[in-house]
Amino acid sequence: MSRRLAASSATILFALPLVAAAMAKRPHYGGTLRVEIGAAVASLEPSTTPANPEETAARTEIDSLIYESRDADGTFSGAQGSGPFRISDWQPAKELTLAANEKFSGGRPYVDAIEIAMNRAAKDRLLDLELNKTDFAKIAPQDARHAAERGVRVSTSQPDELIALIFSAGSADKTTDAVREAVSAAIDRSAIANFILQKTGEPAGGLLPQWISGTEFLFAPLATPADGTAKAKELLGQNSSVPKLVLGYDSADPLAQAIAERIAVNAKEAGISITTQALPQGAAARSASLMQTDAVIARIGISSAQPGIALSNVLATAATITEVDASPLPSNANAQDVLDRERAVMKTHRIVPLDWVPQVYGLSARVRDWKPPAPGETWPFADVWLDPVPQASQ
Amino acid sequence: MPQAWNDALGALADKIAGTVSPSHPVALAVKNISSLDPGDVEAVRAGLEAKLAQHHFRVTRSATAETQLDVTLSESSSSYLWVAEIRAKENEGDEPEIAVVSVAKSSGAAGASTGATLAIQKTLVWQQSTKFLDFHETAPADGSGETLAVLEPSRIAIYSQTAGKWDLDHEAPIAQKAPWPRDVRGNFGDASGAAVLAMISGVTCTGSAAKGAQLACAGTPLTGDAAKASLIPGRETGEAALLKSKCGDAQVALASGNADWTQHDTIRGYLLRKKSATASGAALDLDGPVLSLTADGDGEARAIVLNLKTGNYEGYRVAATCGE
Repeated sequence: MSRRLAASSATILFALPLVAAAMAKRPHYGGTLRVEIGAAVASLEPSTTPANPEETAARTEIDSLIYESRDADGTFSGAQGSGPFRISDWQPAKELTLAANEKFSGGRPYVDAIEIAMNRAAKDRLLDLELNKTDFAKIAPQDARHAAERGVRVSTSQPDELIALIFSAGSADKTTDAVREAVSAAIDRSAIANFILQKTGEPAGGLLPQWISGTEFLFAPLATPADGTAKAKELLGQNSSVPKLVLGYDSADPLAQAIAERIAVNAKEAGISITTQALPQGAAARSASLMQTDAVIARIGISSAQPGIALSNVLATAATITEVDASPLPSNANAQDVLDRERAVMKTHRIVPLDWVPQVYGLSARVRDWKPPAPGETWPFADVWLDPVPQASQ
Repeated sequence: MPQAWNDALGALADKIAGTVSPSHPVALAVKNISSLDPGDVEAVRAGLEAKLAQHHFRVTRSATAETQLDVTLSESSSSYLWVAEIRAKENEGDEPEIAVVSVAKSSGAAGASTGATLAIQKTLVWQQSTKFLDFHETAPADGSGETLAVLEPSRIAIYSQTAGKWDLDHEAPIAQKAPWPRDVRGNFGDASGAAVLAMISGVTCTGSAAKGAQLACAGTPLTGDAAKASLIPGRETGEAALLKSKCGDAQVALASGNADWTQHDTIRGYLLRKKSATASGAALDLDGPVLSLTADGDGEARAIVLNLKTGNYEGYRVAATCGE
């Protein structure tokens, strides 16, 4: 084909020995990956509907391992077992064992099997990581620092979950633009990041993180809590009567509760009365619950690293709670289109970004080539391998 | 300055011109919060000033100018974003108008490192989002135009160059019965005329890369667990390639680091004398793991790198130059 190509005929003779020159770096085949999850997955049949968001998320992860392809709408297609793994043992809501699919078109996974223990509480998962009884488990962001201090190997994604205060559609009569902006200004986002999230998170200004949009710096919160309180008072000075607000949170989410209570304290300093109210699990976005509250703490996962898609999905989620322009951005939306929509929504102060949090995973020392999935991706267990001689640290 | 940057600056100047009148001086301030180096920042500033001049703006650094133009050079994971906040004095107190343009990050710039003896330089030849194993550039003697052959697990893609841009010309499928291993690797071997030899995970694949042709493979693929000998004494991990060049009395070799495939990597030069290997010169930093390193022409190797920032697989020519 070419001079350069011909010249390489000799090099191939010693290029081949390179295949295994890297004994420690190149993947090792074999072993069983032990995984613990909090969800109790009751069924893997596509026709069944998961009971809660946690089970939905777990089903997505499992489906990604046993189905070969994923459709544009996020659902998996093909035959069960066509993916990198097939089901070898299944005890609903308790344990799932997957075996490597030797004929997987993308290449056989490195591990022989995955054992997934379900319905494991967060504290039990953490303990098992510490005791090396599991290789992989998700950790709540607020527990990440504590876990690392206790010797757990922690892997953290880019910040890809937005914690936001969203004013409900029913609150329109009570909350004027000025009241909503005052609440936003009064919130000390750095305190939430530093104390509640134990520094595993960062203050949010916009609806997309800086690493996705590149423009979040334009929405930076006020520099100091004192500035925020002063700004809130200034805004409310124009209001003759400040309404008393009710802020709801998911009763099963201790992080949302802690944040809601912190916001109530911040608001009080600015002269705004906020009472917090626990809502039934998973009900924070249901209209029946929203009738009782003026705002809720919502956790919105970023579904794509593409700014236009990510913003459309954030707004679609928010639109289940509040009135917001959630029309999808066109597929060819450019940076200006995305920014213009984000600014327009931010000006309403109906969605108040609070903090960004990452996904946090605990890993055993023998897990290699684990990479936290990007938004829209699933756990890449087919690429993970187990080091027969684990490194002390990586 | 890359053409894409020039185009983006033109678009940004157009947007600014659509917002404020050029009849008054504009105070331009440029702030960099991206990973661009100072040289690039200055180039962007100069480029923007030139584009604004084409719109008859008079750019000044005076704070008394009628219009303040604060340009922030920002970035996302995939693009540079240049954001102009435009404030007219007559609308003081109002929110600024904001114009933004984005330009895809390019890894096309050559990176270089120099050392006491060996200087290593990389040149990006090809990148794509899907896995590829090797590449070869071709410059026919008849001057009929350069082509680039890209070896993927299931095909050889042949690209031809038009106006500095590679376009897919055709592809030759690679027929293989069993799936390749997950850590599939391979490289081009000999070729004469249209005949091609590729080695993929220990399997020999032969055939033609001509239009309508295909390659057939025979054998059982090897996995990375297959035992091998080390090329560089004392370095049993990572990728390595013995080059055909010498530096003084020493054989030149290149080797990657030994982290796993989730981490950044380096390529470092080594001088081999008898049974010893000495690291020489500064290491070349890369944005992801080196998946393969294959000796090429004199003093050169081909490296395949998975860029962890962009997710792209990248093919580099890596040259090692012997200095004093």
